[in-house]
Amino acid sequence: MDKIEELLYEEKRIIDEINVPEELEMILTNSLEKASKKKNRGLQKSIAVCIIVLLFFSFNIETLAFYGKKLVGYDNVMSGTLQELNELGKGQVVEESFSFSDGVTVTLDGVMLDDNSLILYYSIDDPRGNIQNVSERMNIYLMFGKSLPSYRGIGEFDEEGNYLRFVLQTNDPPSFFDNTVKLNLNYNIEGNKSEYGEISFKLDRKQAVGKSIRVPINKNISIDKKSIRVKSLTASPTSTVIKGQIQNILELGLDYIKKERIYPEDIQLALYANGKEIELQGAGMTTNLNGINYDLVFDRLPENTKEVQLELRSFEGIYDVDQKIDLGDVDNKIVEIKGQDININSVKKDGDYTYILITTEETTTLPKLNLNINGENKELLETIPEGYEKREINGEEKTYYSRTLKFLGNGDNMNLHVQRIRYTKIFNQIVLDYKLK
Amino acid sequence: MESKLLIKQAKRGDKQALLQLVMTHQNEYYKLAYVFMNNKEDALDTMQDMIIILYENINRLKKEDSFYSWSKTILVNICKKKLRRNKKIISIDDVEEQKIEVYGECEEKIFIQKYLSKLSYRHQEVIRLKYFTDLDYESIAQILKIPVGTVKSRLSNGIKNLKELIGGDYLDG
Repeated sequence: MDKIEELLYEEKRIIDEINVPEELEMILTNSLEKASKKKNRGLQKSIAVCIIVLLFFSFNIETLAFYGKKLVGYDNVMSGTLQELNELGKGQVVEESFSFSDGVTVTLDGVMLDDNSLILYYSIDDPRGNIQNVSERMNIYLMFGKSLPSYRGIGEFDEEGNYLRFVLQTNDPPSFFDNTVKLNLNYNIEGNKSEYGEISFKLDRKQAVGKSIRVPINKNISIDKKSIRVKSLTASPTSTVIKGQIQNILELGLDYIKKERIYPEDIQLALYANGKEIELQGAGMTTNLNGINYDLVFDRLPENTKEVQLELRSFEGIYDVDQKIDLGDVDNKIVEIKGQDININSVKKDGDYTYILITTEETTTLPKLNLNINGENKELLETIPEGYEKREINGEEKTYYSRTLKFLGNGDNMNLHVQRIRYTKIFNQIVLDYKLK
Repeated sequence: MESKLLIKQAKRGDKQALLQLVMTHQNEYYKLAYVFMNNKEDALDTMQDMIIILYENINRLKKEDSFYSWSKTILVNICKKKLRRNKKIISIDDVEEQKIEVYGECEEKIFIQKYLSKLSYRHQEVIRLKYFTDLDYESIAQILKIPVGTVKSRLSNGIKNLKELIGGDYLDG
């Protein structure tokens, strides 16, 4: 058995020890009770069989052309906002297709453009009724001029497997000079042969009617001696986008040199319009020559919005640290790293190995560490999960996670060298209160 | 035999019979959901969705003998759908960043699940079913509705990709 298989079987042993939760029967009984209220649900669901959501990430123009025609067949994959715009007949009709040699056809039905994004409505049709399989072999790349925008999307297969309808929304609109939009199609036909196709069209900005509100925010929120910047809010007819920066390229470079880098993992912000929370539709973070930037996409603001509030809920990141924990005489020692308590419960030497039992808050982990034994660094062999425990601290319930770190070797002089720590900082505070004129 | 009777009753709309059919094999269903979802809450959620779909569609089941493979296919499809929906937002740059973590000395190093989740769905599902459940090739093929040969080839390619992803010693193993 090779090493990978050993790892997989080890995981199976863990899974085998999991017991079926006692509440299963009650949960299933309750679900069945609810099922009776929708007797014909099966019939109602004759079209919606499978929904796929793709989320990718990474936005200024003023377009929303009128064409007086609704797109048909996309109801299940459009958000409420897009459905309303479609009902009003907003958007640009494209109706361009490309057919592959086996009869599979990709059709770009139409687009909607505003300050925040370009939304594309396309369908893939397979006359043989095997659309799920076809879609897995089809790669579609969107191009604005020569750049590849990032996007998110949602799609739906019909029950007979004849077609897939997809709504794709970019995270930025095409730049003012990129008026040609292209869909590059790469289809792996059965037999491992690839066929390529292209659908291209010209954006019609002249019929633009979309109106957006842009609010410059430019506010810094301080997190552990660093700051997160909320730059702007753009409310367009299709969405509300908040952009910000975690570090600019200079800060990023300095931290790299000082070995104090932050690797942001997640930022949770909530948006309220007139006190009511707006649905979050997507979020993303990018690190490039412009630094570490994030953007959050919410549904559009209601028409009568007078006030918007932004709440920072939490920030999760990995931080570079350089801390050596002496394991000489340890029993229940608590070490603080970046304000996070790392409880070293016990250190056991057993045969050729050292086992270190540690407990931290559930969201705190040590992504990079090693054990120094008499001056020699040993890599972590494995982490053995020991379980979760809920504790009430100052009236607040927190979950703690214990695990054993296993290293090869032991000695009289040992220290645990922690080089990175990941944790989530909870804020739950309003960082912006803005009145719209 | 008993299960055939229960299936007939379930087809007539007897909820208790359907519940009994599922609860008799609760361990298999739960483990199947768990190997995909990796946590109790999502595994229970998928089983809830499954029982509703079973209840609403059991009349479409033609061969009563295949109740268990049919229902497990439904469960696996629900899991796959949920996983696709939950797919995290990752930019190209973040992927590069994550590679550093993958090859570094990670505390979570041995969490094979982390690497598994980076494989394509096709490869993930065959590896999870083959290694984490007690299903044989034939049963996996039935649940995924693909030929046995495809199960084997996806498994071999999936393991190869997993090795490449983890790197280091695992490449040689």
